[in-house]
Amino acid sequence: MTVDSVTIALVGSGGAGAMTAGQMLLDAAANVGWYGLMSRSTGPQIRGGEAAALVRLSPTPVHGPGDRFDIIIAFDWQNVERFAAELPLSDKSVIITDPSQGEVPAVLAASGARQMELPIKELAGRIPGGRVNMVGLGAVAATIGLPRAGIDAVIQKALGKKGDAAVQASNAGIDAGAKEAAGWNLGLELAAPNKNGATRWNISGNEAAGLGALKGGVKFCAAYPITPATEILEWLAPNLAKTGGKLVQAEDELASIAMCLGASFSGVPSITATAGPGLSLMTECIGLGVASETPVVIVDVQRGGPSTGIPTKSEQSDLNIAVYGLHGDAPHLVVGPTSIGDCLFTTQWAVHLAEALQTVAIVLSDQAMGQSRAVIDKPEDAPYTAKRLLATDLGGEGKYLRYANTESGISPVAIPGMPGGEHTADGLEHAENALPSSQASDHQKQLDKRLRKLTSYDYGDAWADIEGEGEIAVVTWGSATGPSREAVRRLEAAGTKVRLVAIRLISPVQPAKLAAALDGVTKVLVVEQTHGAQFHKFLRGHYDLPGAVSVFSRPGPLPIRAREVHETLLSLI
Amino acid sequence: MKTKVLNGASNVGMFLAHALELENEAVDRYNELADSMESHNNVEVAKLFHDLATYSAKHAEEVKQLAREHGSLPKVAPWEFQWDATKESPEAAAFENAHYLMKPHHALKMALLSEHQGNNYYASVAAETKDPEVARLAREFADEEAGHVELVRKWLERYPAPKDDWSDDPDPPNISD
Amino acid sequence: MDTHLSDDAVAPVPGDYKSDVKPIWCPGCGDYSVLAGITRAMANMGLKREDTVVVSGIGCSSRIPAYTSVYGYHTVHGRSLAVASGVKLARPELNVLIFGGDGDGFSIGGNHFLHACRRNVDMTYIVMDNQVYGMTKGQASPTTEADWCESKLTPEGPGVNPIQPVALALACGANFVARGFSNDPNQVARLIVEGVKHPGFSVIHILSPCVTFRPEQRGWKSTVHPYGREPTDDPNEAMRAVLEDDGFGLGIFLAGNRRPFQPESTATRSIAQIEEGFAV
Repeated sequence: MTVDSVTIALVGSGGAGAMTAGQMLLDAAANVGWYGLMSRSTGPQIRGGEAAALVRLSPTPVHGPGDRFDIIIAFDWQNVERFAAELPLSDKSVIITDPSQGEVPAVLAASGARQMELPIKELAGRIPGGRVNMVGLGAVAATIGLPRAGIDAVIQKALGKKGDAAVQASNAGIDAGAKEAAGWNLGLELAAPNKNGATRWNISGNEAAGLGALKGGVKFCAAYPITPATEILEWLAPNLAKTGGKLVQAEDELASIAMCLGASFSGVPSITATAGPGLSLMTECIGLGVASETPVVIVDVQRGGPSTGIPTKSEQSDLNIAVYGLHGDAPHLVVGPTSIGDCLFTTQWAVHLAEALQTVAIVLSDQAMGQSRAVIDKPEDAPYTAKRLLATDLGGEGKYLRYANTESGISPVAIPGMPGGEHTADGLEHAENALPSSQASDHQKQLDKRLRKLTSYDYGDAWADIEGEGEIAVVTWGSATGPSREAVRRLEAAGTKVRLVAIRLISPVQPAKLAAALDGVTKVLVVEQTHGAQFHKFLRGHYDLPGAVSVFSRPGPLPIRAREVHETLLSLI
Repeated sequence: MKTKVLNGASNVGMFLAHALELENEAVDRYNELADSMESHNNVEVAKLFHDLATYSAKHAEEVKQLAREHGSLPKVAPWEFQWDATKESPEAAAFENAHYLMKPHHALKMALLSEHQGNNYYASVAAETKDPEVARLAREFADEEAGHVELVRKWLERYPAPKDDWSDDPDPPNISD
Repeated sequence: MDTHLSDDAVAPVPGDYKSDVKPIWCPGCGDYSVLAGITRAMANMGLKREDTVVVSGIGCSSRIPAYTSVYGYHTVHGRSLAVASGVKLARPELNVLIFGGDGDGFSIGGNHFLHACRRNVDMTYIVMDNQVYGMTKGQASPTTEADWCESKLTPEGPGVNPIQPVALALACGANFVARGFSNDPNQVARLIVEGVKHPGFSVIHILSPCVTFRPEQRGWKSTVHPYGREPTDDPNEAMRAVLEDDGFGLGIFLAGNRRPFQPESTATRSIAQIEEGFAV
């Protein structure tokens, strides 16, 4: 008897190495051909705080967190109450606990989960250089039937440089844990991996966004660190340099977006990444990008808000500021990746669109995608790169018109270095020749043009992920897509057809396309992670949704689980 | 009393470089002042500055012709020009003396000062130079400027000083960007 | 600075760097003369128009880019230095100059000024100081005297001491620091030429009277005086001297030796090679 998904929490504080063990578990599972997802939860301490690695493994692609934890292994119970709400358990769950660390906290024990005692500290103590996290990893590996070869490769990679003694100590720890667990027979062996021959990647959403930027042709990034976006910037720093680009650390987000605009004005595709507080600071310059038609991409890795909010937890509540946060009528692009792997495609597409349309693109990722790692099939290559429509025939008879009122709304741009194209790009409203103008006709013309270039553009099929059929549809976006997708598939497996529409292109809206996608639908469930149902209101403001519309919307910090969407859908049937 | 000889007095090339700068700057400045008056809807003074630019351009053209005949002139940076009594080229009317409500009287006073300074400069060179050709040209130019001074003085007679309230504006300044 | 020079056979003249847009500044404004100084400097250096970018924020003096014939970016209030840094860091071969006023540079843009000085990117900042916000009708700026009582916003005077831009630039690490006066556009041109040619971030503080809201500044012409010392390459020496200066000394205070910040990169890997790092 095997299971087709297993969800594991490795919990510990102050140097126990829970995160490292979780990472090794994910890597080992990937090596043997399982798919996986790992997120993390930590206390506010920089070092020594309580930490939990949350890992889900499956022979099929993992779309989101499991409904509940099958296994919790605790190296200690320090402050674990802080995570209790993040660790849903049932009487089928297993708690692996070290008796030397005291009783299982009541808040977890109340679930009725089985408790397996494992003298983790004692076992580690018997091994020279032994560590508790390796004993725990061994127990978990044995419980889920993770082949030893997968772990060996990980240990060799992680500890090979530290020498044989370190490798032997780890192996001994894993063996000790596995030996104890071997006889437990908990029924949590994961079904055999399905190695389909395709290349798999082990990547975080933030790394994927960085890679998307590179593939889109970004050559400049100005960076100001902010949780949970920093990893994009840290990943880009060496990788931009290796590909002939540059990353510069700015003094604040006001500067990072301004530097990007400067680089882009000079013709170099540019990106920055931030979170809600930084996006708030950037809004004035984002408006400048829109008005001066200077392309730039901003990846907003959303976290709980408002204000400093919950920096390390996910939410989708920056939707409103991303769409509506600019003063004036300032149409621009807002896109949202629908999975960790899709952070690559969506960011790459955003670079392409921003450059093609000479405007600002905001990519709304979030902490759940950005800071989680997934084992996925290698994403397909997409054909999207940065290509700006450059002015030609400069220096001829007529004077160059930077903001020429073209049919497409896209005006050929001259960049520094092009003789005859000299002009002053301006955030003041301007005439076609770029000179400031407050005339009604110029304002109308330029507003029309800046809107038209966005609304008349053909975005193709990438505007949304559309899956399945049936008269019930889930309409969602961003990281809410994963649990929604899993819920829809469960219903399908049980014989109920449900459609899934995950909108990638938030703005500009695509009413005709959504109407076609929802043709024949009688019930719509909107799924999102905000307190104020921002996405639902956004849809209501711009789309006609067919039939009866229900909403599943709640704030972070707890991730949306497939079970919640599944139960909501069942109640609609 | 001057101890240093003006570098424009040293040879014909340097003299012509200075003269060319002086005349070109005079024309440019009158045009810039005219533009500034146009921007501020002072049409009467804008036209006057344009007229002054046109007159100055004629003399500038004569100097240009001499320069062409002389061949290539030394390249002098803006701050390397030496004028006898002014920081800027002496015939360039000072921006700071402009006012958006200024009357032709004020504009002509500015012009009178400029032409005077031009005349004085050429006279200084004529007095200082040891080069007979420079002396001849400088005297010639000084005479021409003296003619301009007279011309502007006569012109000014038609525009007596306005009343003291010429700069009164009942409206406050505007708010812009 | 390794300036991009014009290869025109005919020597450029200041008029080549002027656009046909007429300035909206009040007649009598010091900025007219500063513009004259700027175009003279550009002509003297023979900058290639297409390789020259001028960036500004918001304010009277920030209108300058449209009055020139080079590439320009008229941005938002206070951010010109950051935008310009992006231009220069991304395209080091371009000549980059920034124009702005005291409010734009030292108040709303104060943090960027601090970091532009310490970052020392090779560009030249020309800040026209008239100690007042002109475009919003005459409020006190960060360089206004504490007891200036002419603004409706601070009728008792701003009550706080003004910033000393030159001392601030030195303290923050600018590599070239000078002061000029609009009344003498040829010296302004000289300072700009020196600043552009000097490697690193050059700050040129220019006293430029506001005849509308600070008419008494017409008197500056009898207040200014030569700074009276040779430029030094020692920031400490420059700082000591500047602290003794009355704020009206004109000249070059520092021509330092700090290395400009300019990250270079050469492509050594393909994206496909980088992607391999994610393969299981």
